[in-house]
Amino acid sequence: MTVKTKRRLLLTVFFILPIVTAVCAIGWGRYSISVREIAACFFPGAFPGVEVTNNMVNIVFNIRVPRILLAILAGAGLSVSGAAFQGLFANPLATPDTLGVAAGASFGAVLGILLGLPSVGIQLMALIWGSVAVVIVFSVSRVKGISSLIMLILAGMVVGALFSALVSLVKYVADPQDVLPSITYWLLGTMSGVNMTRLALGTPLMIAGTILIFLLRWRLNALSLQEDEARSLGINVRLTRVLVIVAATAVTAAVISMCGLIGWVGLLIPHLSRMIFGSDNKYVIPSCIGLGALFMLIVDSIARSVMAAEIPVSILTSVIGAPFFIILLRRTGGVSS
Amino acid sequence: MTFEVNNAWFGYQQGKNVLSDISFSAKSGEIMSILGSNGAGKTTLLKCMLGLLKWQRGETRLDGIKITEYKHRDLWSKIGYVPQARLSAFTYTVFEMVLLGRSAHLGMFEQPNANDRKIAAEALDRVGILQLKDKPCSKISGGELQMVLIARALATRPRMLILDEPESNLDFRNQVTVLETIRNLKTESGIGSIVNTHYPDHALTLSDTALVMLRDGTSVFGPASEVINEKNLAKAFGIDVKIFEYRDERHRHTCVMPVY
Repeated sequence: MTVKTKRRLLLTVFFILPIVTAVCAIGWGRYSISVREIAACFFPGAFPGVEVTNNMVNIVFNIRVPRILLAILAGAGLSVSGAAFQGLFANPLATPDTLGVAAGASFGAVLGILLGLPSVGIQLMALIWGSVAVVIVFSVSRVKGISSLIMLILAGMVVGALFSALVSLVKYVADPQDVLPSITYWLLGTMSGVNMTRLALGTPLMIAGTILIFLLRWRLNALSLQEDEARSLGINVRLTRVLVIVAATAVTAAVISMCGLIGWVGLLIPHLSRMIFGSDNKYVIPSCIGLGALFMLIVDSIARSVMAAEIPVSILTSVIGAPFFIILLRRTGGVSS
Repeated sequence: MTFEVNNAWFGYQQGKNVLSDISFSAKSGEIMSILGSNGAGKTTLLKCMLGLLKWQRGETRLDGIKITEYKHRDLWSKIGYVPQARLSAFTYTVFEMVLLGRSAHLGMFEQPNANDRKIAAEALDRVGILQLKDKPCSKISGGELQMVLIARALATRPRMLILDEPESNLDFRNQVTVLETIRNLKTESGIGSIVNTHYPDHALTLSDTALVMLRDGTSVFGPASEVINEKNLAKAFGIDVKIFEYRDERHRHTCVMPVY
């Protein structure tokens, strides 16, 4: 079997696994539903022997399906935008938040919570302020009309710190009885309580951004070279960079607006993909979509089913992700052979 | 194909010129050397003449047309640029690296196809390192990495190569490999080169024409055997220099020796 067929086969597996896991995840939880019952919920009448209760239909369509879709979108989105930023900045430590989008989106959301906005309003605030942060980073980093990568990263750090301070300010003035807990809970990242409206607001942006990065995936390889080197390969470096930043920002802001802050995925999954496929983004990007979705699905299923009270998902991504990452790094030395 | 620079000036700061009144012309099928000491502005000159930095005065013309009037992709599919070898943050395999040379021929959203892979493999074969194709660029020697970058430039199918000190960090043997590759590309495929170097012997042995950069920012251009002389070298490097000749049956070798 050639390397190419092997890689294609692996990618196919990485796309099938999340789908299988998603079907199983519909059944998992405090209220367990069998695969036959799930099938009967989706195709009423097709399985005459299986009894379907209203309660069951309600759980499947109003609680578990939206939540599972959200886990898939969030995992795939954060992984892809992490990989895109790592290629763009030629830095394996870049994360989706390198340009301050998460800090900006958090500020928007907590401000929305403080103002008592409805959940759609909170989500819109997150989207808007996430984008505002990146626009500020872009304009701050332009010196004599040129944004160098190092200026972008520094501006991202500064703007990120500024918005984190503003988040702290909002927390400080928030009512500690009821507003502060919901701010804290939002900042921890959670997938519970998601509904189709919330999904409908974030999904198009997330999918559009992911498609753009997917199309640009081979270009990311050249983008991670020195700027002059990339230009001498005939690449429009500035335009490509702007496209990648816009796409990754759209994806990250959309995901954060739907489920709050979830760290670590954007670092873990791209590295895992690189250990499997090497550095070629032609494979790393699709692998991030599949593995990111799978990882988030599994983590979220654990978050909602191991304890009576739900564990915030960002805590679990770190608790599961960090040791997993350490094992991988020690085994492979960080690169695919 | 002709590549000319006409009366060009450049300085990073106002009033301080790194490059003053540079003029030369190179033809495909010829090798031209740019010879100068460290800090003479050789790399700056390469960047300016390729449009990566802007000339303050003067211009670069490719086939008589200003390079600023070319479409970015058209320009870079005619010229192959070989930068100084350094590793990137992510470790690509030799083949993945060479395949990037096809970028100028592909649109923003296109992926390389079977034909592009064939051309990349041919480029590797052309410089004699096809056997390295699946190795990571971090696991090969400096000489091999330089050959990878030459192969990447060749994968563009250029009519002229521009190389930035391709042999500067290599040992004797690897220097000869790189220089012979450059010479073979000229004699066998008619691909000319413009080579930045600070080795006068290499410039003398390899090139048809040479631009000697003197330390005051001015320069002398002409046939290599004429302009690379003891007087100009002394001016370019700021030390006394003697040139010796040695002939064997096949070639004329020259040895440039600093006297101190």
